[in-house]
Amino acid sequence: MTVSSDPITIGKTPITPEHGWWCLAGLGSALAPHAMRFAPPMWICFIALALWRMLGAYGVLPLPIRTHRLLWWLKQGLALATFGGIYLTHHGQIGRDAGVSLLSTLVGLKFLELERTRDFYVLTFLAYFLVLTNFFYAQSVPSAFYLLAVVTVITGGLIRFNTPRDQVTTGACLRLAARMMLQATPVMVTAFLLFPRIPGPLWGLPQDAFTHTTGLSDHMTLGEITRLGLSDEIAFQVEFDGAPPRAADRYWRGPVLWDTDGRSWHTHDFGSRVPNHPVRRLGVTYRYALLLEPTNERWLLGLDTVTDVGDNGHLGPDQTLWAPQPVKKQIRYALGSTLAVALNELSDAEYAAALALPPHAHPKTRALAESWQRSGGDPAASVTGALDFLRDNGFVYTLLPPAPIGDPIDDFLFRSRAGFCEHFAASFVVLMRSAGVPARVVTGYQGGDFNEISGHFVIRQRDAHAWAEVYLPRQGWTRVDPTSVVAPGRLSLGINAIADPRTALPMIEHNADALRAWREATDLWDAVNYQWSRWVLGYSGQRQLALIQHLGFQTANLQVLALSLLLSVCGIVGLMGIATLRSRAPTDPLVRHYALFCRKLARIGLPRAPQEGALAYAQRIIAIRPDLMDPVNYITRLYATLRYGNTRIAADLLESAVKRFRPRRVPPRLNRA
Amino acid sequence: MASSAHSQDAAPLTWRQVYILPTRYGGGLCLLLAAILLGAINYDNALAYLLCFLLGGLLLVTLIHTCHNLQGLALSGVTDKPAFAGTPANFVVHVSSDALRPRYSVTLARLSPARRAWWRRNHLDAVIEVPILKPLSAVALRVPTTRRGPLTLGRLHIESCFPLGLVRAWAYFDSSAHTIVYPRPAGTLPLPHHLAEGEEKGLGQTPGQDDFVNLDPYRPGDPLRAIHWPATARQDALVVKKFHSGSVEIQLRWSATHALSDSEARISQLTQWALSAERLGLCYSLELPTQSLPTGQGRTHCEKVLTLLAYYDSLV
Repeated sequence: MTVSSDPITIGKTPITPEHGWWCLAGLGSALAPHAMRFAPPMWICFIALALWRMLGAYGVLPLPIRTHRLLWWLKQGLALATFGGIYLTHHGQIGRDAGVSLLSTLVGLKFLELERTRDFYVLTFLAYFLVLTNFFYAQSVPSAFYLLAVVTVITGGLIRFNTPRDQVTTGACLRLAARMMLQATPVMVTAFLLFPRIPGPLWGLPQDAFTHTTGLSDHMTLGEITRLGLSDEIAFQVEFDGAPPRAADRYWRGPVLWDTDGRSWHTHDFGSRVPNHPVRRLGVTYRYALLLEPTNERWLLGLDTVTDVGDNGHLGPDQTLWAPQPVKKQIRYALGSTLAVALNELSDAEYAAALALPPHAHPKTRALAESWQRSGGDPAASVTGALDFLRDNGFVYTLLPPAPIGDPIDDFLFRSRAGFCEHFAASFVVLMRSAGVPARVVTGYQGGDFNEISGHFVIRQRDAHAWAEVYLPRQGWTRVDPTSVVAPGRLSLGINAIADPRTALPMIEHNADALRAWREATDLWDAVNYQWSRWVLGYSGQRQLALIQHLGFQTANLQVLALSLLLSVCGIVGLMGIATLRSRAPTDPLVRHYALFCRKLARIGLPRAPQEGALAYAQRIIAIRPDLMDPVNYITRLYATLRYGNTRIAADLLESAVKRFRPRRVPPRLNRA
Repeated sequence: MASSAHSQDAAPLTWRQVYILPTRYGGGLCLLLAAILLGAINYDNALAYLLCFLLGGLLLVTLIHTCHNLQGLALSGVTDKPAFAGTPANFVVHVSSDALRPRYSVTLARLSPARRAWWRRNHLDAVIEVPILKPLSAVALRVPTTRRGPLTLGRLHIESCFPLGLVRAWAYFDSSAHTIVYPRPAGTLPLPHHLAEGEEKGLGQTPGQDDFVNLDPYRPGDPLRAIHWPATARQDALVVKKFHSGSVEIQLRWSATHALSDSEARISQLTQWALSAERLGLCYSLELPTQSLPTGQGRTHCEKVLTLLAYYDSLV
């Protein structure tokens, strides 16, 4: 086969419509997840520009090339208009969302002017960058794998661009891309584990750097937890070092609410006036690690009552755990908690806050509680009385209470008598305060599902709960969960057991086997996600330090990390290079036989120089060793004839000749002469 | 013209002989990786780190793939064909491979002797892009020629950016193949008179125009007036009338070109005459100040004449 063509400039591949489609596939699939996050104008704009370019590629529409003045100016105007639109939409704030919108538009405009080789590469790199922007919104397992596929497609496009179209199929391009990415994986894993993690942001993060989070907040308005009550989103996950506490004891403490205006409840800032009170442990301490989803709040969750904080934050006077800064991304921390503790001290400021009620609010509730106070005045008796009142008056636990009329507490206690944990907790605390017993509302989560596969607990937003704490003279702060009086199953079985079964799939609701299979599948999925969060998303400087120490290094300073990273990456690439590039035995039998001939000569000190032709080599050998003339000439001529005569019929002649050829280092005595 | 083969069974390229560097797009990817890494550090985003390292790994893996695309290739021979100065000389380069796998997007070129600074790309001529190189391929290099005389192929440059275009691997083949570049046929002087008929025939009448034989495609050196314009118009290609004139004999003398001052122009004129004479089927001899060739005819004779002209050093 002879290939010949006129001289052309190297590295200038003309752009064909097929290249356009490859580019579009990469860009479009990288942008697709954003389409769900942004307003339609953004992706409609992109689709319109892409359509224009592809129709232009087939000659249906004129393209805004530089020579086409009118369309070129139209394109410039379009660019300005979209930039202006984005600026106005995001109110001039150039943060994450505006940045991504801007990038998408830029990519659309750049795609429109895909004309040269350079444009193709620029678009490919932009597509890789668009993949990156997705990670600022979602880091879940499915999105990671989707984007891995997108990277494969983008890389396949690069391969397509550099391979002849009629010789290599699209499938082959994608397969090669996948193979190369597989080969890049060891480098990726090593670099991920060993690249020094620099703490903290390098520059200020934009306001919208992190996704909006749902979850508990530092205030509670009656009716608000309903929103969480129906959410299957994971709030946090817990791995216990030993045996876990019983379900009914798994109260996960969040912010404590003291202040109320009669309708909503808030945390109270005691400032530095109230010192931390000593905590006396009365039982065993549970040790566990908690993986908290981002909350955008400063408080952390822990098993009630947290006694060992470590360096994860500090405890407030009301045993709320505070982090140094708001939790903007998933964090993992280890804690120790004791279920039974004695909290006996109460400062004046706390005493006042724990009895405060808004004036003139809840008149009927106050009247009821004051009647108990008049009859006995013992705080414990007031607690019992309140719980009896809730138990005996036909209260109903429901996640869909009727809207309150008038005073919400009075309405709940005396009219609707239907509500959920926060109604019960808030009403109970109002009753207690009215009866002169210091009380506060504690919000958090209760229970959690055990995942059999990975052996950890998953606590979802629907496990959100609110309960009360009262201060009793001898016991100190004591937890009272008024919800348990009405709906005992809420604690032992979890919220699923009593909530509306609307979240379960209707067709498997009554099929026990299907329900079990469904549950196992969700358990497996949770386990995968948990390990993903633990090992991939949550891989931090601390984990890196532990790994380095596990590998036998004393410290994980920058030098150790950089050196080990460099050495291992070089090692991996070197090994792969050796495996691929080391010279193998040639597949052509002729070449193999001839190579053996050359090796035999090399053994007697006459190696063939690189680039030395077979005939030149033979001449050189004969000049040095005239005694070898006959076999060398015969083999070389046979080889040359076979090789350039392009025939294979007498390959065995060469084989036997080379086999018979046994040159010796010292020339034997010429006794035949 | 005759072609000759230079067998050149060099050892296949090993990775040690393959040079490799990122292309400017590879440099672009490095910038992108730096941007992604900054983003990963700033947002402390694990998947951004992974993406950065995946693409970095891809860049490293490409080094191996690109090198592998050239490794094992060998220059197994070159066939050359003489050319006239000004037209490209064709060297057919036979490339063999130690493996059956095809090589994609390989560029073969001749390394121009002009030297360049080390950071500049080599100056290449006769560039040819081969989309797919099968284990035994022949690639025709069209080496541009400007001057008459010997032309060595010299160093061949083989390069490839396959598969990602992010790194370029290149290697050199040293070839001893050479060919002759004949002088450029040019000149407007009429062919000298043939000896047999003396001065009777005028300058305007070229010998051998007696017996029209057939029409042939135009070849360099054919006199303009031999072109058969009606046939040319019909066939879209230059067509010349061919005549047969028995054993007419002419002498191509250096002195006959005294009208031309420049010695190169005189050589070109002699070349033109030799080709015309051969074309017209005349017997011709060559007389140069230092060398001469006896009368002869035919392809071999023509090649001898042209070779003598190609190597003639007018300064001697």
